[in-house]
Amino acid sequence: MKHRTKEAIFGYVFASPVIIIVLLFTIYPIIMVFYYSFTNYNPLETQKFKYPFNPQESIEFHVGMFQDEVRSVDEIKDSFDLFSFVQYDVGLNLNEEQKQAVAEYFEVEKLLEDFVDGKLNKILTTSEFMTTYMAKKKNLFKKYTPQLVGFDNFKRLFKDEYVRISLVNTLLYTAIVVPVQTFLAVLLAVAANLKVKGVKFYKVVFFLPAITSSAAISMIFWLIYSRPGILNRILVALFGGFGFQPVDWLNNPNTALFAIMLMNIWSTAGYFMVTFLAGLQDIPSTLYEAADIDGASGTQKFWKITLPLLRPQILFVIVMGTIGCMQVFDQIYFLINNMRNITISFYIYKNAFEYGNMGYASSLAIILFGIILLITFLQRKYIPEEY
Amino acid sequence: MTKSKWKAARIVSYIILIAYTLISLFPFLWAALVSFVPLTYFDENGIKKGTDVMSWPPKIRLFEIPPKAFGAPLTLKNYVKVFEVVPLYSRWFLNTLIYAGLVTIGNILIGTLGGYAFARLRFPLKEFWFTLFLGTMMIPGQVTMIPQYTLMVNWGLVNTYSGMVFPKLANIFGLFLMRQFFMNFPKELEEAARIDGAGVFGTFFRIVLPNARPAIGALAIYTFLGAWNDFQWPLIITSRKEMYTLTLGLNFFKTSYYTFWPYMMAATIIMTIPMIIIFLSFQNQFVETGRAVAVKG
Amino acid sequence: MKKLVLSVLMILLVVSSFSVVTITITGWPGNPAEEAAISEIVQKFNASHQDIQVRWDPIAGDYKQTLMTRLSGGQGPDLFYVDIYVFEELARANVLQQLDLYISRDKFDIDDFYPNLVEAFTFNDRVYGIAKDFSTLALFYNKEIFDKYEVAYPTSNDTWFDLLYKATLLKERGYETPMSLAADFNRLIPVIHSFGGRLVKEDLSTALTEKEAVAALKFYIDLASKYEVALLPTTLGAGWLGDAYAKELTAMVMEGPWALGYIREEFPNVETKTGIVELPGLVEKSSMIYTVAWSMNRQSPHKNEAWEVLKFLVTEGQEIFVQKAGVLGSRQSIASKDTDPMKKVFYDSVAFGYPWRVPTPTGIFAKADDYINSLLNDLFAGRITIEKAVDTIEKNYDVWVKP
Repeated sequence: MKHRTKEAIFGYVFASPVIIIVLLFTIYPIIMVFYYSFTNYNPLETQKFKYPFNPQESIEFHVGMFQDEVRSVDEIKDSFDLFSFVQYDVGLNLNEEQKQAVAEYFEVEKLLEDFVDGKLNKILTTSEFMTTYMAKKKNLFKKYTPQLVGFDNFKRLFKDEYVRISLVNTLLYTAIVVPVQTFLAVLLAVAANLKVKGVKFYKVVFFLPAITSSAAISMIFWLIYSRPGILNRILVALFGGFGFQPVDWLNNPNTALFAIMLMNIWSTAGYFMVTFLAGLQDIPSTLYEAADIDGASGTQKFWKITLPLLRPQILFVIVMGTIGCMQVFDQIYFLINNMRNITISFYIYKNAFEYGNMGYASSLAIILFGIILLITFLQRKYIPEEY
Repeated sequence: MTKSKWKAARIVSYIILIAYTLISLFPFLWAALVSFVPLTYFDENGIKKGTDVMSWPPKIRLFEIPPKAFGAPLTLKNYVKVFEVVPLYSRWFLNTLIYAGLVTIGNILIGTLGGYAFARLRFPLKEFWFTLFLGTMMIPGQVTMIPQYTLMVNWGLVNTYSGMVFPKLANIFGLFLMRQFFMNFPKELEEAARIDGAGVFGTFFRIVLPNARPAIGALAIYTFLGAWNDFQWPLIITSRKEMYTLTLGLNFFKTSYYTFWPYMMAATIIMTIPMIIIFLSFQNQFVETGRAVAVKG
Repeated sequence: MKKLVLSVLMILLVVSSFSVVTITITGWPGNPAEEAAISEIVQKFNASHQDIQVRWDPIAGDYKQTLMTRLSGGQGPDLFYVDIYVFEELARANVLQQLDLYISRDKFDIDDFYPNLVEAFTFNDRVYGIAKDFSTLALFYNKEIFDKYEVAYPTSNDTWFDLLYKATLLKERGYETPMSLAADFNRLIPVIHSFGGRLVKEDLSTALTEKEAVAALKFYIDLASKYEVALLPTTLGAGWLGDAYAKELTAMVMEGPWALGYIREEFPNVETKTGIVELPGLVEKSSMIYTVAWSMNRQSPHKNEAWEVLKFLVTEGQEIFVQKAGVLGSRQSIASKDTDPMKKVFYDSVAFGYPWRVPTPTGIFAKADDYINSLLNDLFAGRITIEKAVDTIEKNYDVWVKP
């Protein structure tokens, strides 16, 4: 076998696990999200063709007579309403297409005869039941398929005030957290790099918040941020003279998001500091020495040597920070209880898993994706350096 | 810089560093303090009193015997109570360990294989796949979580370890990390192996992999950390409290023991301690991940 | 020989594990008093039934979100709580099992339950849940604080303005936090009704923009922002109204009987200082009726066994729950035996209580509830004006009641 071909085969053997997993769990979901956004996918309906039930009991209830009392179909024919039977007693909400199919092809006679003959006293799933008694179009009743609704979801999200609110919150959040945490991380890295003793200690201590789970951090800050909590006490001690009143940081809609931003910066600045520290250490000291000879001041060296050479790290931190902030979820879930302060990722979750509208949630997800792509693209354009 | 300028700069640095150390540590220390305060206690006259961890001043007397805060003697009882009230804690710990462990092992296998392929081997569509993967890094979790959930429902893997783990086995960041590393790997070693007659597999498993320890270590730590602290996916995929991870369990605790702060803090600290121990033991590797990402090719 | 024994043991093990059916029941965890009651109920059932075992698997965090997720994943519990205000939504989605079949088959004494509670969980003439208990709202007040500041106690004949007057007196005489209010729409409803307002018009569009409702809303918010006699529980450092009252951070709250259970379990010294009277009225008297039902999952593979558990939960289980958690019995037989003097006002309030179920064209109300609560929060924080809030409701209500 040619060497080239052999290598290609090996290449695919090695790369196939990654490719398969990514295709299956990332690429395929993205395609599906696009699909769902054009439907009214309701997660509660996914199981509806699997409900187990006893048709005999359902009919007994529907007509108000026990099976052994009924001698012929005529006795129950008039009190049997097919649609209400299917919807309430079998438990299937039908869409237009299914309703028409049922009207045309459902074999009511056969069903009632089987009932009278006592053949229905067993457990069937709704799907088995329907396919038994539908003369044609059985495939409509095997699996739940969401209905296409065209652009309805997208039209709706333009009018939804909470889409605007959550997007604004998310963008505000990103716009504040990313620069602050980046700047803070650079500052700390520069400070630590100034040949200060115990750099290792600082690295460890600053990294600690980053390894703690967001749940734990949220709980701890919930304690600290509460109105009689320690933060307010400290602030009152320092600024009480200027008329500072204790603030309910997390419940006041004006301050809630900022409180969480602060919490986020606290937990990530240390992590990024380490990235910058590594970058700083890669800058040859000869550059600084040359600058000293030329009589450069500290700040000049910082802006003209340090920052430019940290560009790749800065870009990386900004991009990763942006992606992370745009998706912030955990802290919002734990600590925010006012719809005015939610972020778009939380709104997506709420629509999908609480309001039962995964179609709408999917359209929101696409919008979020588009915004992230746009921002990242712009960032890469204006802070040029490959990573 | 003149000597005095250096000195000034260093003093400022010290101040910044020490201030931030306090800021970094304070929340943990405060949480720990509160976790040792009993919810109620019996004073010297045998009268049952409550303690309020929100009271001011906090009257912290750590050097008395017994140490006191908020007017009550500190105790370990809250920790016991957490285990008592939540007998599933150990199960949650196990679940989190299994989840994080499996995801880490999976990522190491898949990431090293894939990383090597993209670094060293030539195969058709290689560039296409890699660019595609890089693009997926930008996709927020919310975009994919709904279809991933649906997929798991359809395969009947909801509330199972497999269902939790499968979608998380190929973290692109990890792939990227390994590829970076392998691209910097000294070619001579591989060539020497080839000359000795080793095939691709042999070269990979016997020469490259054993020497990739630092990168694998960084990958392992990064992945383990992410999975241990993961909240959103376990939230969706589990449906019985036996399958919760620690993060979910903490949320559970919060609803029952709303504002019973000492219990809440004890639960939080218990949840965090395993990670802290792992962190302190593998300090270097952890810090290395922060560094590794910044190293350019 | 060994092999035979082993295989016999294996068979026995397999057979026994098949013959025990485990029924999972789910609700929200509730306060520690309620939790204790539930544990006792579960234990009692398990002890008396060999072939059915019950597991209590509460959902912490957001109940509805998590329940919906589990139901859609095919992993839902066999029995679960359904709160009255989401009942219709779930019934329409056909995820609840009709219980009429079992009721008539076992001749279950459904007539023992208060008729309007049975009605509350009936949809399209089919019963989808059985109320496990119910609660109403009343006014709790701390006698000790009123005595200290020499203000007359609230009475059941007070109007809202009498309440305002007494609260203002407390404040003037030096007590900073006379009452606590929640930014919850369902707490606002009795105020709206007592001002002569209503929630929806005949066509089920919102009536919250009518002048009586707006006046009630204004009064409620003004208590905090204009008259400054009321604060949110979180502002006081408590989790909820009952918590704020029990920790003696405030003198008056409008709460339900579960708060009584909470006080008895955690802060017993406060019970002796507590007085309970009916909520103030104005044009008419009003209160809320809250109720939660046990419903069966339509997907449950063990419906007959789940039915056995359900019967127990609303019969012997209810007795325990009423006693321990302080709620009111939904069975008339249990309610009549409940002679706890502290609960009398709650039972009396049923006469003019409004069941917490707002009719909408689609049966869905939970989302609108979320949004209205958010507006209330904003109002309490002074972030928007009443006019803006009313305007928002007017513009968006129809969208909020759609899925």
